Amino acid sequence: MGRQIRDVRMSLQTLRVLEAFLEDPTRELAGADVQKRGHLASGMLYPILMRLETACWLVSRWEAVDPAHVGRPRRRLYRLTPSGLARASGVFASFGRGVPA
Amino acid sequence: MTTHGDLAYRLILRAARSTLPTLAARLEEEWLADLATRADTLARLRLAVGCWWATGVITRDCAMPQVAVSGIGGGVRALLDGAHQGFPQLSRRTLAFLAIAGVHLLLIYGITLGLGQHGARPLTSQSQVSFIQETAHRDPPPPPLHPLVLKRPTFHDLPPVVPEIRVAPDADPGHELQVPQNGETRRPPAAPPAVVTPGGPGAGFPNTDDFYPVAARRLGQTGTTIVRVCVDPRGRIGTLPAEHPGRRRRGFLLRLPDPLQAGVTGVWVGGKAKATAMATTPPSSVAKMRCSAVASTMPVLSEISSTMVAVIPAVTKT
Repeated sequence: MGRQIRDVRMSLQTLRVLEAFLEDPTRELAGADVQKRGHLASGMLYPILMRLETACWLVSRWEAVDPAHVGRPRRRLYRLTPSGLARASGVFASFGRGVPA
Repeated sequence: MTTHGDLAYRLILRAARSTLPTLAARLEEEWLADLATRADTLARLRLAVGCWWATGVITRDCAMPQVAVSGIGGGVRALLDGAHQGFPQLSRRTLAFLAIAGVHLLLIYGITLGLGQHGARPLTSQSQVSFIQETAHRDPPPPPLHPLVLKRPTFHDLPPVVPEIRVAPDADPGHELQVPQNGETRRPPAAPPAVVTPGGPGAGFPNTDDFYPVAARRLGQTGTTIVRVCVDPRGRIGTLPAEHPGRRRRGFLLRLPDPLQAGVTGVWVGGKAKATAMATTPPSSVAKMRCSAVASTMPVLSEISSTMVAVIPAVTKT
């Protein structure tokens, strides 16, 4: 990675995004999946994903499919980094909720 | 389900390409992939509008470090850059003009609706006037003054002085007995009787209170007074200077006993009395006032003896 982990301004929408990822920290989620789980508007979702990725809380990659074969563009998949997982857990622990099961 | 002629599709393409060039391709593919998962037209439009909104937010987030470095002007410039990327067909200057015009329109609209009063009402309710108590040290008031007691000065009225005047028989050397030629002895005409008018307060003319100044009485001034009074042939009263040559040329002198010590000099001019009463008294203003008082109150003189006797007693002061 080589990039420094930075703090992210915690808003309610940011917490909802992190909560969606913390349901299964090892799972990769696309933007549409996070939107469904966190009940967020797309106008708020993608800027939050960009901030978390810039702060090294998330890491993303392209879906390994052929767009011509599947008949749609590739999806961008996001996943929590180990440091992002620790910091997100710390944030929820500070709120007294802990990591959702 | 994705159709290239779809409105949402075109909006997403335009929104993705209006962001930063390094993110345009990624966001375009990512958002189109998200669009492909939505079958509902309304949901697709909502996604497209959200992507438009996200474009502005992402552009501002990417421009934020430059804003922090370059300050407020750079921030405005970055915002304009972001807006310019959102509306590439409009120039930056046009966007700034539209933004300023829009702000003014909003203000005018708000003022027209009376929103300014709603905004000013809380301000006026919060503004309260409070008077600050003056804490400056004040000197205590001065103690009350003693009541002023006014005393009326007491005057000791002098007892009326009625001088004893002895008038000697007229011994005018100019009047000689004329012996008639036929041997008859004719008696000389009798001298006119001396008319003595005693003065003093309450004794009739002259009233000495009018002659002696009140200020001189208060000061207790004493002295010898010589009053010069001249009676011209027409009976008018005037004063002669002490150095006047006619004062000692001829005439008569009448001396009065102390404390008057006044000398009266008189001359006969054309059968009329012309008298000069000399007076000296400190201060000289008293003599002047006295002279004027005599001149103003003394009647036309016809007989020097009576006049002088009437004037002199007013000088008395012990």
